Amino acid sequence: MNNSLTVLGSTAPLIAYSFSSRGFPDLVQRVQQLLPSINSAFLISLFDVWHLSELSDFLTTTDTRVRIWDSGGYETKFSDDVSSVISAVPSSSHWELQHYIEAARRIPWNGRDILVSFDNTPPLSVDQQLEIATEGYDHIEGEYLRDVLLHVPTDYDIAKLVSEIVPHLSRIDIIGFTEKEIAPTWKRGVHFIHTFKQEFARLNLNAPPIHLFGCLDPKSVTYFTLAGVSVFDGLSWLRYFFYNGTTLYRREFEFLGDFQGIRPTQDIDTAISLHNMNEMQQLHADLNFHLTLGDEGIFIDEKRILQSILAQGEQG
Amino acid sequence: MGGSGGSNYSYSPKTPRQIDALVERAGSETQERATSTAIERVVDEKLNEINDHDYEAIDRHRRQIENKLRETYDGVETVQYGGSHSRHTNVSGLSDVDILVPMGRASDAPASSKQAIERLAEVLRERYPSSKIETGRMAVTVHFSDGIEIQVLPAFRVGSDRFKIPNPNNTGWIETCPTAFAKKLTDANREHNNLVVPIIKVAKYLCDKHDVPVSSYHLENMVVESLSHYSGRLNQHEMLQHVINQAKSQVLHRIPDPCGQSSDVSGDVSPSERATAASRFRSLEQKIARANAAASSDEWKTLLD
Repeated sequence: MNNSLTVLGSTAPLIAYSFSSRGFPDLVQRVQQLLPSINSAFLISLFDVWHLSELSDFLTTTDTRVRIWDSGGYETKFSDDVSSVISAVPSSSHWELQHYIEAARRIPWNGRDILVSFDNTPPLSVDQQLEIATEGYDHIEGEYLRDVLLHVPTDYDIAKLVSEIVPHLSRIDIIGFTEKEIAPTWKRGVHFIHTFKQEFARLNLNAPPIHLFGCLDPKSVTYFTLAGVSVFDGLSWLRYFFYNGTTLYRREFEFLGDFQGIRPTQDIDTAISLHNMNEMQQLHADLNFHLTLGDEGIFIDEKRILQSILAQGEQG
Repeated sequence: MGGSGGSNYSYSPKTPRQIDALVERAGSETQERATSTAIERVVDEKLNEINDHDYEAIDRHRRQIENKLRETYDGVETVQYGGSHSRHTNVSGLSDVDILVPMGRASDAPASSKQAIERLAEVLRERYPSSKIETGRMAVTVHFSDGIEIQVLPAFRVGSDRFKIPNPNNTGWIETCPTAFAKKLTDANREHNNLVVPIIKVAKYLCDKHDVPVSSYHLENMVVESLSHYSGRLNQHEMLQHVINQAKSQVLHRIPDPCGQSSDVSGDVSPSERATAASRFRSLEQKIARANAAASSDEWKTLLD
């Protein structure tokens, strides 16, 4: 239906810096401080657009960046794993399909928007999730890409999943999964992505671009990109400290003698987040170079490790 | 109390081994700072060298050209510097001097830009009979005997800051706002401790020396774009590594011209030329990374000599 490539752009993945009120009670202030510095893409939840009227000041049609409007499920549902932060308790506010539709209608579409499907439901079958996604989109006029977020139980049969998605392909621009749900480890996660794409290839179909929700650290972005993911978002850039391709506890920067990224005019939170974006920007350039030219030099080790994991199959 | 603490957080080592480790780390940090300072000095020295322009002679030529054109044409306004010279991003030995000659209002522009350029060349040949004068697609180039080359670009005023100039194919005219990119550059420079202009100059020099095929204007746009959201350390050698890291990816794609002169600042570059430039940028990035990680400024000297 829509031309997703126009929005997603180059062969390199789209990296969207996420904002959420879950775990960040100072969300509006953070948006104010950090949004102007984002040059690629960002993600804001419709749940927050609905509940925080101050956010409307930052939503304009003249903003030419890619904007992902999230479904609100993260802000309202428990979905913890080992990387969760204690303070990130979901909101008890109501969040229904009608709220989602009305919040989306507030968005001044800029032609480069991505709208994530509504997902604040009890566990549903893939078919039911796809039906609810369509119902939401049918009530929201505008020029946006449909990013259908599917919650699948770990170890769900991938061939079955693909067969359930295929009849709906004409209504899907991007297919989304959460990193937490596709597999308990990143190794099994890359296997899931690889197998998912292979299954489409087996059927002589092009898989839609894949969005991996809640995945935004240098290592995961590298491996999942090489495995075939096209869109990433997550809150790690606000919570942790990226340093030379690794993700560290935030205060770790104080122990690194050669880190002087903090400027006197910035508070530490802002400075670390800007530093993290810088790290991701450099990784993005490396990935774009590698994927566009097929140059093996930069990610030679990661490619070798990935191939070894994929060769081991699901036990990887 | 618990360890979340504020800025008064401190750590007291308890064993001689821990004290030794701290002393060693402090020594290593001092060494790193000393190396960083030494590298900046090496880059500064190269900047002084590539900043060596004979501004007096250039301005004398500009005035002479202006006087001749005012004698010949009605409505010629003050001649303006254009290109890298106007933005102070010119590099000695690499950059031409561009001047923009406002010759009247847009409605005065002849239909054919080619004829306008040929007529301009005739007038300049009258003034400089012994100088080599060439007509290009967008400008006339005067090669002065002192080695200075000036490209004279005819322009017709559309608005306070907009002009019609010959299009790159010399088949007519296009509109341009020559100050649009200059403003972006000035803003970026101000935000980054006035380091963007020197970084552009050194990047141009490095690209020329290391055979990276990229035009001056294309490179300037990539540097400004990549530094517009830069949040790393404000020193030349690390910012250079960042801009060359980004350039290897940026050069693969089109970048809209902020001046509106063309749909892409690179002009007409083929995909294979983009791939070559990207690979050369990658190679240069690796050299800079090695030089930045070295224990002395010697590798930077080699890189720049």
